[in-house]
Amino acid sequence: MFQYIIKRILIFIPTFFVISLLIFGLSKLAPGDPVLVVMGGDDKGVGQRADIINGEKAYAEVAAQLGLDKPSFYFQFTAAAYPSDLHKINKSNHRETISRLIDLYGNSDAVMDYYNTLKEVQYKSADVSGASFSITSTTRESINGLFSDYEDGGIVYKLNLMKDHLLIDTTGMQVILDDWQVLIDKYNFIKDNPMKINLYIPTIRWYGLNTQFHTWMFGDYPWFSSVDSTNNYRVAELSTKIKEIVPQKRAIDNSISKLRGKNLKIQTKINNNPLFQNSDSLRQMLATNLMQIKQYIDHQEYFNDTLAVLSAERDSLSSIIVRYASKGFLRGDFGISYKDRKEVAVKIGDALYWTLIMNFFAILISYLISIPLGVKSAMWKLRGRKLIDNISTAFLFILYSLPSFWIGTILLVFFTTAEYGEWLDWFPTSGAQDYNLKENPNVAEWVKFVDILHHLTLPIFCITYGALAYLSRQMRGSMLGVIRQDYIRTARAKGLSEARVVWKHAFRNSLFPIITLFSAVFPRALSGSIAIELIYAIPGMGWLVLTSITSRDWPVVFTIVMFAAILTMIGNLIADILYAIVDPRVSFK
Amino acid sequence: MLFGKKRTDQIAKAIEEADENGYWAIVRKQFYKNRLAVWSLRLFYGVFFIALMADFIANERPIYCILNVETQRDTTDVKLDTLIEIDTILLNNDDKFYDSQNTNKTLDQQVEVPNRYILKHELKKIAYVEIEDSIQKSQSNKLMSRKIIKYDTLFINTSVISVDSTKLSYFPIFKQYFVDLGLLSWDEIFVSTKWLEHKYEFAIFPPITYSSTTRDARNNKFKSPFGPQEFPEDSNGGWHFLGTERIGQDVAAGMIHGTRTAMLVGVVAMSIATFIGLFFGALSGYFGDERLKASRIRILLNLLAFIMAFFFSFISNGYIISDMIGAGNLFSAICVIIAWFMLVFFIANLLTIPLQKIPFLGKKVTVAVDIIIMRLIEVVNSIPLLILILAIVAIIEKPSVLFVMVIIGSVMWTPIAKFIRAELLRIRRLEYIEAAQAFGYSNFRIIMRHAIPNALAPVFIAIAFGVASAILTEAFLSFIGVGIPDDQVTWGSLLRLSRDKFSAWWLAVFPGFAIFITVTMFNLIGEGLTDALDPRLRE
Repeated sequence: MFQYIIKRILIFIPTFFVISLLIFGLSKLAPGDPVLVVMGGDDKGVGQRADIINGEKAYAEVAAQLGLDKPSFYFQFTAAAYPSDLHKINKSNHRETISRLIDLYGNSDAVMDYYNTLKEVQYKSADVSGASFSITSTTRESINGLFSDYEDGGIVYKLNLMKDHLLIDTTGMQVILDDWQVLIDKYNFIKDNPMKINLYIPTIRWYGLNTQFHTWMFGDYPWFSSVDSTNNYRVAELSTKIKEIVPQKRAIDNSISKLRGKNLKIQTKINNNPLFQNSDSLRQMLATNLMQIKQYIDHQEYFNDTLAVLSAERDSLSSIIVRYASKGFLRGDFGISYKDRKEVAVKIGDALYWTLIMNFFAILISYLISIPLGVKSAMWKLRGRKLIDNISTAFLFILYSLPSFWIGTILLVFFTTAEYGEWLDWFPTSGAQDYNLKENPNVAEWVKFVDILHHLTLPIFCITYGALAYLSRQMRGSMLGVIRQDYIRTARAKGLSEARVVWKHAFRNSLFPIITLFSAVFPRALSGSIAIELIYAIPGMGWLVLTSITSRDWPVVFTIVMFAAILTMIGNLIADILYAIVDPRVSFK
Repeated sequence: MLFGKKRTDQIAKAIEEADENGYWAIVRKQFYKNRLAVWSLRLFYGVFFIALMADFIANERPIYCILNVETQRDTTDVKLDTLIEIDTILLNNDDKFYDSQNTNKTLDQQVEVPNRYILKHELKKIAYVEIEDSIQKSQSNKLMSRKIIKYDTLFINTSVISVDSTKLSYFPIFKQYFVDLGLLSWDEIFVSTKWLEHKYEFAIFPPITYSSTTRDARNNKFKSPFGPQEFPEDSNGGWHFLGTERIGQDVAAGMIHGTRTAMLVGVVAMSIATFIGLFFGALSGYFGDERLKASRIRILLNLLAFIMAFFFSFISNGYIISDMIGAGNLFSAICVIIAWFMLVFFIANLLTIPLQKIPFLGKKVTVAVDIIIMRLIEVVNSIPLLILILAIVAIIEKPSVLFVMVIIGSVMWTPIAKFIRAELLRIRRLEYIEAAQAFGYSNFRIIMRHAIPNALAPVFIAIAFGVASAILTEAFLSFIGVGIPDDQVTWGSLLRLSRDKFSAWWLAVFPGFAIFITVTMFNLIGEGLTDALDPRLRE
């Protein structure tokens, strides 16, 4: 028995990794750039050099935090045409353009050369000063467009557009014009020297352990040695302090400039208008303002000094410290959600609460009703009570075939509003609880509980009835199968009472299908309530799965699917063990 | 060939007789004992008929119509500024032609003539008198269509339009099929005017005069089937039998066309699933862990071929394939992939033949197919089906029913594979298979001709239940609004609309009922098949 369990668990491991690979591969196939999603907006890359560099820095930081700046898998099976360090290119749309160009022409060196030149020209164009605004902005925009253009027509059009604008007025743009020539030469070189054969030569590249998959699964945080994170704490502390001081300093800066403005106004009033020349009140105001300014300037100096000290320390520390992307899935670090940067574990925990409540009641009720009902209906059939047997079979069959999202919608439409009469407004329309009640400290706990039950009655009903019908049918079928067996006849022949025969001898052996179904209860609970939670707006797991899949929030999807897989496997194992307990004939050899 | 003709006839007769009392005949008889299942089967024929004929049941186009079509022989292009110029000249000159009443009279007379001649605007009225003369002179249908009127020193280009009205008959629904195929194109009037707004001489409309996407602007914003619905006097549009939804699309039409989507999903998805399931199930069931023996070089080269085919189709040509899929050409993308795979495998197996002669490479080893395939099934079964489908659907940029069908099909094959595996594990030990092997038939032939036909019975059960769950899955996906394009009307998408407006009960009741009936129907057929194929219940 024990050996069997160990063996099963050992088989889990490869299955588990295949599933993780499958989901990881799916997330890599998904369109869109998660870094941009996390940064909350699209990245223009137009502006001064400092803006561009800061933007790239911010992008790289977010990418590093998500662990997306690494090669995706331990090894890469790809064509020889693609460079091995493509993942080092900062932005995903740049990577896409480069690999598209390589796919078109096969000449990776030339493409990389073109890309690097483009990057240089971008920086140079950002530095340009003294040129006409429309020309610089068109130039910058076309360069920016070139980063995501791989079709010949588009590139040529943008390059020509750039040239046309540059030729209008070359003041200050002479450098760019020279570079333009270089750029078009490089682009023509790509076109003239295609090496498409490289696309058909397979290569395998080994990237070591520092990869996205490894980071996600095992984490890049050290496993056994502890990490000295005092620096990290210190940096975090400094950052919070700086964040506190900066607004104060800004406020003082503002007040100083306001007072100076006021003083200037007063001064001009005094100087220009002879009426006010001897106005004491004005002079007094001027003096008080000056004193105030002096006081403020002291404050400002203090803040400036502190800020300088703090940021110097922070910069020096943050250059030393090692940042870790994740502790890894196996150590319970599921990463952060792309959508709101919340921790995935927290999000899942919040959602799991509601799903567990709903499914606890649903499973409890469905098992409590379905087992006796199944046995009873089997008895009706055996005793030849045709009418009630037919009715119950038909009823259970219809119940089983009713799609839960239809019944959910029907109940929502008819029983949650006063649309079809005041007397039908029985249940709340949406949500898992009343937020006014939840926030109110004066309300007793049991009132809140009743409120939750009131909200969850319809959802629980919708989840329950299908399982109930299915379980009853299974129970009935297996009971009918068992009752025809010889040992039941023997038991009857011994003169045992019918109840004893049924409940003692037949029931235990008819539990098999119920046990198999029990193994699927947990994963089904996870996914089964998607529609119901959507209909009744309950922030549970199904709702979380749906919203994160549609918004491509892969860390959340990853985690949920992995848990579902683990739960299925555990469920299968538990079912096997229960088999052995219920039926001594089953052995694990 | 071996036997004489007489003997062949005898054998054929014996086979025929055997068919009457054969396995399937018994199953058929058994199945027909289950009245519910039989009625479900009949209902299925009906639903299938509706799905096939959806275009003829609910369509904004008439089945047959006669239309007065005015063909224009010549079109005019008189510029407005010229008109104004002429007008002013006329006013100044106070000409006898510039008598509006007079021209109006001629115009009235003119209308009565079967072939009318219309001139544009004020200017045309002036030109009229002259042209009327020419009509009287010629008295023929073919008349000059352009006339130059010299006025003062100014040349005025006036174009005369001659209009013929002819009665033309159409079969618009049939024609639409050809238009969709790109063989024909619609005349301009059909493009510019909506189908229901034409003035037909005679028209036979389908019972529901709306397509699933026809918007009835007068009856939008959730019109009840029993409440007031607005139709203009001479409207071609019929009553909305099941009401309308927000933008005025007819619910009944949507349901009829939804039937087609549902049936298509059920049939296509299950065909894919059956194909994959039969392939894997037969492989693992027939060969098991010990029967598949191949030479080392064949295994090696086939593995290599798999990797290379994968490389060529998904890495070398990855962007081509992904662009094809992005443009909606899933079918051609699959064809390209299959072509690559077949080419590479063909070359690999061709190479095997000479290399097998080397003793070391030619040594036969067993491949444990069963274990590999069972692990694969376990992996697919470990992920909840809905979540897996949702995750795959999410990576597709352009939603389409086709993708949904392919995804559902490529995920739901495991029960079929399991059934066929279990059957084949039993069948492969039977004597007739051994006999076939002794004959020296190839494994492929034995599997295809002898093993699978006898193992199909449980697969039918799995298919019947599978169709039900495929339809349910599609309805569910469109209910939550994932994977189905927004403008596609399905049962699920109609049901989703009911959540926008609770008072529209017809949106909540009818589409859901259709889903329920269809799913129940397939479940009942599945139940019936289960009973019919169960040898224990056979007397």
